[in-house]
Amino acid sequence: MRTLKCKRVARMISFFVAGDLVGAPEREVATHLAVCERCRQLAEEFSDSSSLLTQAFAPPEFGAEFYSGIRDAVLGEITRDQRRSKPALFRRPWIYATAFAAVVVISGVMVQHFGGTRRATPPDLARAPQVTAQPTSLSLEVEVPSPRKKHELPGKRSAQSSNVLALANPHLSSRDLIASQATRDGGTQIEPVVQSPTRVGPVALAASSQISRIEIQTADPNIRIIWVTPGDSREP
Amino acid sequence: MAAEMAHIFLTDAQALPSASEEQSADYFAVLVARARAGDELAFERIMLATEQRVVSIAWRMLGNREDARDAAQDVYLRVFKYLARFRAGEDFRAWLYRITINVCHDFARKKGVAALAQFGEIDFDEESAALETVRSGANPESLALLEQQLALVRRALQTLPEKERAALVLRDLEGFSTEEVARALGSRPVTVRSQVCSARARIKTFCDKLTRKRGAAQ
Repeated sequence: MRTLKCKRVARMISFFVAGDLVGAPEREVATHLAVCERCRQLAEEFSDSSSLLTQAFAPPEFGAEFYSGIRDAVLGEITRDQRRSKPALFRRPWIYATAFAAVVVISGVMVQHFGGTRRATPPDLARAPQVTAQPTSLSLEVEVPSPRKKHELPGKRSAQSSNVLALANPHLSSRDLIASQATRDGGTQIEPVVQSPTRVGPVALAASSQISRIEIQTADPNIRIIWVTPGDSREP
Repeated sequence: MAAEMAHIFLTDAQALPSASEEQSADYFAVLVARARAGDELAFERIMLATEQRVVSIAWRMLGNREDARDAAQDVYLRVFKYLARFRAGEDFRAWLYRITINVCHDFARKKGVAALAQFGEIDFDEESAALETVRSGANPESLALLEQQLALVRRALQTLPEKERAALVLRDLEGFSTEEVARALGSRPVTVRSQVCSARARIKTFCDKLTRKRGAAQ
């Protein structure tokens, strides 16, 4: 009759037969098998099936040729894969070198050509003192009083026309500078507005008018710097 | 010329571990590092050191010589392909046997029922070394009975679920420890013990039923 002990041992018998048990569990099973005929028979059945399993799957002698055939096939396949993955064109390093040199030469020519065009500025502006600012928006107003407003004599205007307003900005072409010069000569107010997110080009300002007003719009739309100066004291 | 000879000598004799170091822990680490760098000689050394075990596992899992050979080739091609994914410090042989088991599962799935029906009747009867030794001194009746029993055991193994079959092959037939089987199968030792225990019980039950049927028929 199977007891509780038998059920417990039955769960461990396959491990006992395979030699997986050590220590107290092994002693417990061995002691039980010595007194229980039914469990001993179960252990023999496990032992027989294990023995049959080992016999049934005893591997044959494959031979050296069998293994060398596997190696040759694998290494041959690897070599073919490597050849396939690299087309013949890209296995020649001089092609890489030539292509790199060509790219360098073309890049140099392009930089020299376009860079030289952008740097070309009028010589007068190049000599002007440079002021660098970094607002997101710069509004520059220079108010020059007109002869009518200020009731000045026409002769005085010729003196004022000698006032120089120069705006050097890489974003403005020479045509824009001429236009602003014309506006300055004909009107009373010049409002060159420069929009640049990073850098405003060199600004050279030499005004000898009575009132000069410079407005600088900062990044914050609520803050505007207004710089109002009286006329140049050196003006006669 | 002398420099080339020196390079060859260094490559063959010094950089690669010697055959006596094959069982050391660092043996495969060095070879894997070399093979990763594209050294085919190192990869060939890996194959030489492991091919018998790989073929043996494949043969026991698939049951015939041709499938075992094809599976072994597939195993090494996968190893070479995924060598870059092998993590340093991991047990290379466990990784290799895991790939072997996976390839065998793929082969078995491709072959499907047809392979299962043929299993135990074609190659095993001719190739089994154990059977050859029995044939030499046994009478025809006992030989026939033994052949039947072995065929039954082979079929019984094929009726097992994939994981149990792999655990039993590695543990009982290849002689790995439970921990080694767990590493090879990517599972825990407790799980492997459970799988092996279940597989042994199923095979025993399968053999018992067929033995009883045969006894009743006689």
